[in-house]
Amino acid sequence: MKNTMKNVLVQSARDVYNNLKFIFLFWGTNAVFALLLTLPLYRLLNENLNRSLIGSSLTHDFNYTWFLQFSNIFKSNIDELPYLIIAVTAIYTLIQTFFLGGLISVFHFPKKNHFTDFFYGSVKYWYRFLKVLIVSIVLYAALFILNDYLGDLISFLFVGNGNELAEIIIRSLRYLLLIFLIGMVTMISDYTKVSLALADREKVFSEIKSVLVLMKKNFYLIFNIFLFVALLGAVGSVIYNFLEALIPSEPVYFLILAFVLQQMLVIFRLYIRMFFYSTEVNIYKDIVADFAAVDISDDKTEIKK
Amino acid sequence: MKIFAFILLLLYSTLSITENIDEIIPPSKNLGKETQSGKIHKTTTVATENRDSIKIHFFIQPEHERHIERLKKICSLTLKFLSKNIGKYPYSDLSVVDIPKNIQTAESLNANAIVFDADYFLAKQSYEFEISIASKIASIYFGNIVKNISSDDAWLNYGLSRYIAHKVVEKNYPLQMNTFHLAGYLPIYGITFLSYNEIPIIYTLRYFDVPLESSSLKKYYENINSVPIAGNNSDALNKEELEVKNVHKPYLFMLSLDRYSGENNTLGIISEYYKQSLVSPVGKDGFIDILLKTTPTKYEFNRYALSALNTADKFDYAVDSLTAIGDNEFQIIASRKEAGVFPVEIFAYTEKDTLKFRWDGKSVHKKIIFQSNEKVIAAELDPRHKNIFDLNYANNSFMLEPDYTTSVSVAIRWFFWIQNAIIIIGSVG
Repeated sequence: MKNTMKNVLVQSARDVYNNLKFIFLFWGTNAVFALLLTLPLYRLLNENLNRSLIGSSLTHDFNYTWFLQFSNIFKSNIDELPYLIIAVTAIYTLIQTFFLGGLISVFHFPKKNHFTDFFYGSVKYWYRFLKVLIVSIVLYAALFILNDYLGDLISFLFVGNGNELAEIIIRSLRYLLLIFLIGMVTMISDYTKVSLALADREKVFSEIKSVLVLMKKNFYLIFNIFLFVALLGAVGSVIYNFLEALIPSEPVYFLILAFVLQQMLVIFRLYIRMFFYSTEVNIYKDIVADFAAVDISDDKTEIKK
Repeated sequence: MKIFAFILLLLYSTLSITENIDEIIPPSKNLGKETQSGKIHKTTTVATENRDSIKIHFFIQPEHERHIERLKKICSLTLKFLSKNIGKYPYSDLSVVDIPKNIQTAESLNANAIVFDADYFLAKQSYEFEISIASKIASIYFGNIVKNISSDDAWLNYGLSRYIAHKVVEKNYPLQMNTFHLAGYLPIYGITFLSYNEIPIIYTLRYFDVPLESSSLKKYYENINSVPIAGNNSDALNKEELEVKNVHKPYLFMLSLDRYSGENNTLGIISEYYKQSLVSPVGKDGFIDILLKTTPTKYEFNRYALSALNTADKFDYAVDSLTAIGDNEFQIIASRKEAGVFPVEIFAYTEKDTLKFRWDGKSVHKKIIFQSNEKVIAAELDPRHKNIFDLNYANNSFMLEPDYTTSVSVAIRWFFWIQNAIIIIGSVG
């Protein structure tokens, strides 16, 4: 297959469509973890609101004073929430890493896409992907530390300087740089995992090195497809926000409609995540095939000589 | 995904900047002239209630030139309000000077001048800027013209000024909407629940109206055990506690007074305090004296006023239960959860009617038995939230039948935010 953007996107969309059954696994896992983080809050809300008339003002609109008071009354519980979110998200991330092995495996061998094949891939690649995850987290942390230091540097440079606009522009550029670098780390991490699985290798750092070479040679294709899929995800969010604003807050049964819409967005986001990996597997397969073709033709030339 | 959620937010914010901020006024010859210090100088004239005209000189930094219409509006409205309700503005002009953020000058050296700093971007329906300017102008009355007896009385200046600013904005501006700052400076309408380093992680982009007193309430809740309003400044443990003692608590107290005794009575008390202080400074004792003499239903409210001003007592009243105790007979049990005492009204809502009771709020519990042929729905105390220091309005009411709709509705929304957050954060794997 010629690795044009269109071909990659069409083939990847087909691959995702053929493996849509896995989306329910991802969705279910996501919902279970979100539920774990919602139940403590629900208990607090029940305690605070189930007999209170203030609830009606919250159903129809938002009561900011209630929000301030609720945050103050349950301060100790709410202060713990970020830690709980981090702990649960850490476990969720490990499970996602586990699922990712299966997902890449079924995209690699489209005919072997039963749940047994999926979990076989999950088990087989989990440890390798875990190493990539650790490297990625270190790199993300480094990026955020770098971002902090850049912020300090900008503050230092603008002490005693009244040029607000210049400071705002430079600070914005700092965030754009952060976003770009996060994107790069994500791409490197994703392609390393794809490469580890497809080439069936285990050495993470040497794989990162070869992925960097691969990305350098095919940067435009890789970056453009990554950007396209990401923008597709962003379009979904925009459409959701537009539709959600149209749903009235009463009568109460519109709550169900809003919930259905929210879950559609969550499923769409999971679909986009599958689409990312599908495009990455297809691009990687094409690029490696091209390399192989070049090698073979070189060999033939040598024989002819 | 996380990157693009952030890009989306950034794009949204960039697009909405044009909505959020006032129209940018291009520099033009008739707008003003640049002074030697690089500031834009513009003058406007305000005719007050007494038909006096006051010239306002604006010295604005060029990058804040777009805020000039907002400045003109709030300065004119505040001067008119003060002249009408408190007393005549004693000067012929007012200077409004915009200072760079990096200059640590909080107060003006001239009696008829105010200094301020402003953010580069101001959200159209967020009024902290207006509140700040109006407070500073009112402070000319209560801090410059009238002198405090001691620095411990600074709350009279700051608290009364902020209350005046609240009234000016409340009367002349649409509802305030909540904003959060993206990357530290871009105001976005909505609420952020979880963020890292100015990067919002769990947030919602919507227009949420937010009462003008919210920022003061937030600071009060954060410093709930701060020094009493009429206490000594030296007792405050830190700068924030001192600010709560001198600015936010007295302002909230004045709002409570406003809700309890009405705006006219409250402004009358302030005006009387101002007039007496012009003759000779009366300080906090003079102010409290005027307050106690002037407020209607004196006895009950005075107990609250003295408690709110002289002690750090907290306030929380609750309806603990509403039960049917016989045929057409119902019982309300209300309680005072904290030491602070406030006279409260208790309403019992039936399908067709509202029954009203009064409670002086002194006892720890109050039992009310009433009869009604109608179906009783709920009981509520202080329904108009007159006691602004009440820590929990949610327990002010009690429904006969529980309703889980709201908790489910809020929990579902939270569930969705969490689903998205863990997709975004979890995608690092």
